[in-house]
Amino acid sequence: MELFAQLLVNGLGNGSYYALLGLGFGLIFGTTRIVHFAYGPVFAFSAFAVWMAGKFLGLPLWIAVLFGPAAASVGGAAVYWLAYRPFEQRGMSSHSVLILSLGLTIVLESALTLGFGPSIHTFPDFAAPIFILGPVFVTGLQLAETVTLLVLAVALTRFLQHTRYGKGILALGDDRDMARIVGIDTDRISLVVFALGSAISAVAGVFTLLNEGATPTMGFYPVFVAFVVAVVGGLGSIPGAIAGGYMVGLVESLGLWQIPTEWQNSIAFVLLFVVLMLRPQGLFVGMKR
Amino acid sequence: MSALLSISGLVAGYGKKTVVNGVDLDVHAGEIVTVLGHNGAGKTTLLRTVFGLIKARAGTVRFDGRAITGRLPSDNIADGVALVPQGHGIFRTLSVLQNLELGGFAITDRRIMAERIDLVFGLFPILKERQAQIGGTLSGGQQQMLAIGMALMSAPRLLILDEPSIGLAPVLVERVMDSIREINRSYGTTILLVEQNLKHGLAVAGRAVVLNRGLKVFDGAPAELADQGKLLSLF
Ligand SMILES: Nc1ncnc2c1ncn2[C@@H]1O[C@H](COP(=O)(O)OP(=O)(O)OP(=O)(O)O)[C@@H](O)[C@H]1O
Ligand SMILES: [Mg+2]
Repeated sequence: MELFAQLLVNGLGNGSYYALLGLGFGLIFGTTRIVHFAYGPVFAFSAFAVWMAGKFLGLPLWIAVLFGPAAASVGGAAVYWLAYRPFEQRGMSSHSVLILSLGLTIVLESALTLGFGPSIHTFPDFAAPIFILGPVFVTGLQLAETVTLLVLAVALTRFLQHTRYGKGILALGDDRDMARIVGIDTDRISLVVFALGSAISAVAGVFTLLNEGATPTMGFYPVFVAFVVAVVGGLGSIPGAIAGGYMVGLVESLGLWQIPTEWQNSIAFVLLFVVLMLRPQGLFVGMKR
Repeated sequence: MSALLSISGLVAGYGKKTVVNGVDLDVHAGEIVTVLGHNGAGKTTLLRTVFGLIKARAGTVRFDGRAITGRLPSDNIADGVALVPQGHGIFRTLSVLQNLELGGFAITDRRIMAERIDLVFGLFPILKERQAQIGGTLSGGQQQMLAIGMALMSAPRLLILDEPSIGLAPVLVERVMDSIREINRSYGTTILLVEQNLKHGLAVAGRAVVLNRGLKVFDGAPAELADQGKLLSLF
């Protein structure tokens, strides 16, 4: 029972982390319909930006973490403007854009490896506090992941519902042609979405840095989980991303009870497969966001 | 009198195919002009090229005396041109109210936004009742009213409508055509309308134009077209 309680806590912590990943990826995918695999290296880049701020500028953690979303939003926006947008403007098929996205992932990961080397980089002098709550222990990072997820989800919902850019994002995600017809600058909205979605991914990137350290390929598994979470939840739906994140986190963690550890990473894909068989449109699609 | 909208020698198409093949068309302020033509004649392409959604390959579009060829839709809206596209001209996952606000995307003044929404609600009271409903769950007729309402949010001088009656029951077609007439009469809005429904399209028109394979083959009084023989020979 104690093992179960601990696995549940771990699952919820990971679920918050996965939901953050899904939120950023789903915002980009749901709005622009670009399968942005290069989300992975941008995520890694954000972790390195925080690491450098701590290592070379000697900044304390609470200031250094701000470099993550800042670096990711610039990186994500640059990837859209310099790579995806020229392809879109030439009317290339979504297959070409997908291949571009995969190619870009490899190139950017190689660039990060050239720049930082393949070793694990950890933030100087950081150790997460651990709290013991009855039979289980909870890390400060698990709590922080959950709180930031909730804050960001509420903030993003309000931003989408109440600001001009937010409404433009909802419109573009609904129907690109109609968005142009009502006079929305779809390129600019896409740019904002890439900046915003990447900044959200960076929040997860910072947690990975603090949990296990940064490597150039650290974005590989997260981008796949982000994809699964966004598809399971229903593309571009905020409640969907949260539900999808917790589902993957809980299934993965509670699965460890019965399933050997080696299979942990496969569990997300089994879940994706099952959901797509039962509900191909995702769990939350069609819901008002 | 010079025309509000003046299209000359307009050529447009997709890939290797030319679909609009040198069309000249003038629309004067306050007029209702109906464009007729068989499926695939190039009517939608003509309208979308005028509105800046498709690049013109040759020719010019002038609005209010100024060349607007290739101008962005957002600039056209700001200048008083609005399009109701063929099919569903709404955002299907958003509420009626959100749709109307997006129709007025360029409006930054809350008071003007509220006034325009009231104006649309005055024209289509059902939209007021349904303002919180998700667009995609409205009936076909209500969706079409919403699409027209969205276009009116920018208070256009020229309203372009692409087959607003498509897929509607006859009584709703009447209702939509009446509202087009009313918009023209009450606000002096100039109307450029594409219509498949000959009877209604001609009834509302001050002037009719027929397109055939990307070419204009008729431009004149609707009464001249009412003669069935003439109509058939043009299609
Ligand atoms: N996006 C597109 N890509 C390629 N070809 C297109 C595209 N849109 C239309 N066409 C082709 O261009 C021709 C003219 O189409 P258009 O939609 O302008 O005709 P239309 O007169 O509006 O027809 P309808 O009455 O069916 O709406 C058709 O042959 C059509 O297949
Ligand atoms: Mg058409």
